Amino acid sequence: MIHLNDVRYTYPKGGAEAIRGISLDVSMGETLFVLGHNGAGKSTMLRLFNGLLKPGSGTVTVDGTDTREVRPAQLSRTVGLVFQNPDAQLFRDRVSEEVSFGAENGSGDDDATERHERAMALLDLESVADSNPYDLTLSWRKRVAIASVVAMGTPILVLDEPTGGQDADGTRVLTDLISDTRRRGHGCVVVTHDVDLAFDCADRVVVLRDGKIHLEGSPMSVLGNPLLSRAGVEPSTMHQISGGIGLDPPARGVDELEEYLEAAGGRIP
Amino acid sequence: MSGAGLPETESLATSTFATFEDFTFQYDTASEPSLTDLNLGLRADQLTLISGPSGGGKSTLARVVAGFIPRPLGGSFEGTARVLGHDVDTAPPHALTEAVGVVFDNPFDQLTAATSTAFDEVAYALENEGLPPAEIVARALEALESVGLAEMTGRHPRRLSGGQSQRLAIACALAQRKPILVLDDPTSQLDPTGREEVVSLVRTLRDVNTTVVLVAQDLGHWLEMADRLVILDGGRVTADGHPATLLADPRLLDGRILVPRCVTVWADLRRRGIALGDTPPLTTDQLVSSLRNLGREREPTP
Amino acid sequence: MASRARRVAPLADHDDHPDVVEADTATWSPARVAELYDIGNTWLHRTHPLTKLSAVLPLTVAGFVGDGAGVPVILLAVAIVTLVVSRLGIIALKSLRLMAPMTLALVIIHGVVRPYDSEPLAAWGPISVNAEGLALAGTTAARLAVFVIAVTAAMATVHPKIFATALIQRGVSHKLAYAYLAGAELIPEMRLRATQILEAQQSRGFDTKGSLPRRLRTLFALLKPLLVSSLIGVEMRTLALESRGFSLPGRRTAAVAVRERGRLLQRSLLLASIPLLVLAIIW
Repeated sequence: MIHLNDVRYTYPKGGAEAIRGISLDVSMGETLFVLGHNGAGKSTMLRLFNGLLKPGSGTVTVDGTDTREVRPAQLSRTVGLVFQNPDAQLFRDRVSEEVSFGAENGSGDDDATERHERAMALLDLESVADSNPYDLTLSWRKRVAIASVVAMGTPILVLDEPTGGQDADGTRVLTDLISDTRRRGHGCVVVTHDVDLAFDCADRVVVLRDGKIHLEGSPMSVLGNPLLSRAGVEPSTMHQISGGIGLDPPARGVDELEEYLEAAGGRIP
Repeated sequence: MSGAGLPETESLATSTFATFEDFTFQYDTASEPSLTDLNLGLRADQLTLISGPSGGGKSTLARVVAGFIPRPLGGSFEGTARVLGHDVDTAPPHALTEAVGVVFDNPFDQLTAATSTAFDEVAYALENEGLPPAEIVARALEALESVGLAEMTGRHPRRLSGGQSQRLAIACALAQRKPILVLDDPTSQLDPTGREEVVSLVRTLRDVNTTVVLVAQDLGHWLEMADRLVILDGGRVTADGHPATLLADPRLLDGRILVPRCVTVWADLRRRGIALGDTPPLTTDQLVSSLRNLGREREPTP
Repeated sequence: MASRARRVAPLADHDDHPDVVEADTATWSPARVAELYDIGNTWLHRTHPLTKLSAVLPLTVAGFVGDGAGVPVILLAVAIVTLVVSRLGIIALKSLRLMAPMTLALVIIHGVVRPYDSEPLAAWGPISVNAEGLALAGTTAARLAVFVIAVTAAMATVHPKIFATALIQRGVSHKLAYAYLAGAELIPEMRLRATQILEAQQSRGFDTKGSLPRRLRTLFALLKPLLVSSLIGVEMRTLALESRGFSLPGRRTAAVAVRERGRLLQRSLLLASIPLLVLAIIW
């Protein structure tokens, strides 16, 4: 759906190349997680996905269309991108209006009302439907911002640091949203620092370092990789635990951890 | 960075520096109270970690301690809140803001936006206090050094990373020699590198006995250094105690608060009958070492 | 008070910079001050900030002496030559660039749009160019340019913080000084916010191109978050400032003080504006 072919990008103001030759595909039905420390190229890559930035060399195509040939607003019907800071986008007086706005501007197989209702339900916003978004706390505002893009029903959903600043409830809502996107056969890209979230939700993980793909693969293979630390990313908790007790391959979950502990007869070699 | 380099702060005479008695507070613009019948005492010799769901009253509590409530942030309240011996309602102006340093979650919005160097940012408060220039310079440089920004004195605040920016905000409070630091989710908007910078600085501050009130949505990284954990939910205290004691209670792991993965794994394994003991791990390393010791007889103590 | 003796702190190139002084301290090395306020070290940089500011008034008034563009053009030429000789040609260039759109607007308003009795220089249908109008446009532009170049030269050769300190030392309210400093930082900050918002709204399908109603809607969707997010920022900043003693009563000091001098010169410059004003009115 999104196809990056040997993409390079340097910001007009100069400085080092931000993206240094990235080739990547985002497919329908896939949940892709992007990790990497600040400055590794994550935010630049996001902006290339929906044409906010055009590649310096190489090509980015979205559903077959070269992003250089269309405006971001046109691509927004295919790639729904939610930035980290909700205050950069909320402009309606009520939560439900804000979400409706997305629904009316969106695309998808069902009608706007259905999309609106589904987004409100998915982000669990019914209880605040009539509130002014700016009367809500930052983590709730963030949910409103995400809902307004989810309501567009785009085939690809791109979330920048969705769980940052979220409480337990919000984090649960977001993991549910990610699984719902997968269930519906849509593509989902999540940029995050939350390694355990990637462990739980990702089909595939890409780790960026200095504008290049440093590691790429399944969460099980990437999130415990010894090369991970070079990109400034910690292993997932399950990888840390497995590594600490000599469990290889690492446990996928508590079940496998328990099995191993039982098999070891309570004594770890 | 070592504790020795940190500027000295005045030590607090009384061990409980903030007391809330049946304190209820509602912002002028809000439809319901942010804090309800709060009864709580905060000790000066502790790092108090305050957590709980969004909208549970954490930041409001922090703002009362910081001296921002009921003025300039207005609202109606019942009961009493005393900080450093002052009733917050009748405290003389500046009595609290001069003693309590605050760091907010947003690394950039909390800077003065009127300085073009990190040095000026720290010096600003000292200039407002009317200190002699020699002392301003000495204190500002000392504070910048103690937060690890000695090389950044001439850097424009907007060109600092998130973690550096938060450390700059902490340096401002240190330079003012404030005995109490209130940190309102200081790492929620940082990347792992920035978070680690701030976490280790706060650990150092704790180690040199700075009084810290730390609000954090996500408990990970803070549990180990916290002397006390207070959970605020719906404006009320729903749990209060040492982190290791509190997290041993399965009711606290019902999904209302964000606990680190090591704690949920520990609870899951115990539920499945793995004998991991009553004390939850506060870090992944602690969990690993108790897993490694499973089934091993306790070494006889010499 | 020997230990408190003030010494001159070099600004750039470790040369003496007679205006910025600070207290003696072991840790405060001249290199650090240079790193802090890296602004240059010409005679204009070394002139007291308020002397430069005081010079703006008589210079501007002098531009209005005489009927035509003669006096302002001479002043402008002298200013440009002085700046170029002082290796500050860039300031002249910046000022003139600032003046270019203004000059164009003046030429259109006075030279083309405004009707005159006299014979036009050239005419294309309803559009005519008038000599009288062009002369007026030239004079106005030259007078404005004198002001612009004077202000730019005064402000570009002093670090905003040092300027604010100089003002506070003369009794200007520190709140006003804050407003000045924050104002200088406001534009980059707003630009940063606006970029963020523009990107977020484009990602939600707002088009920056298209029909007028559509663009108006986009504009609204940009302005509201800009306003609200700035206000949220302002609330936090207000609290942060409170915590930094912004509203504390009492005298302000400065880590890097400005040596007090040139008061007589500054007063003379301001007073010189009066005879110049009289001259401008009667001539």
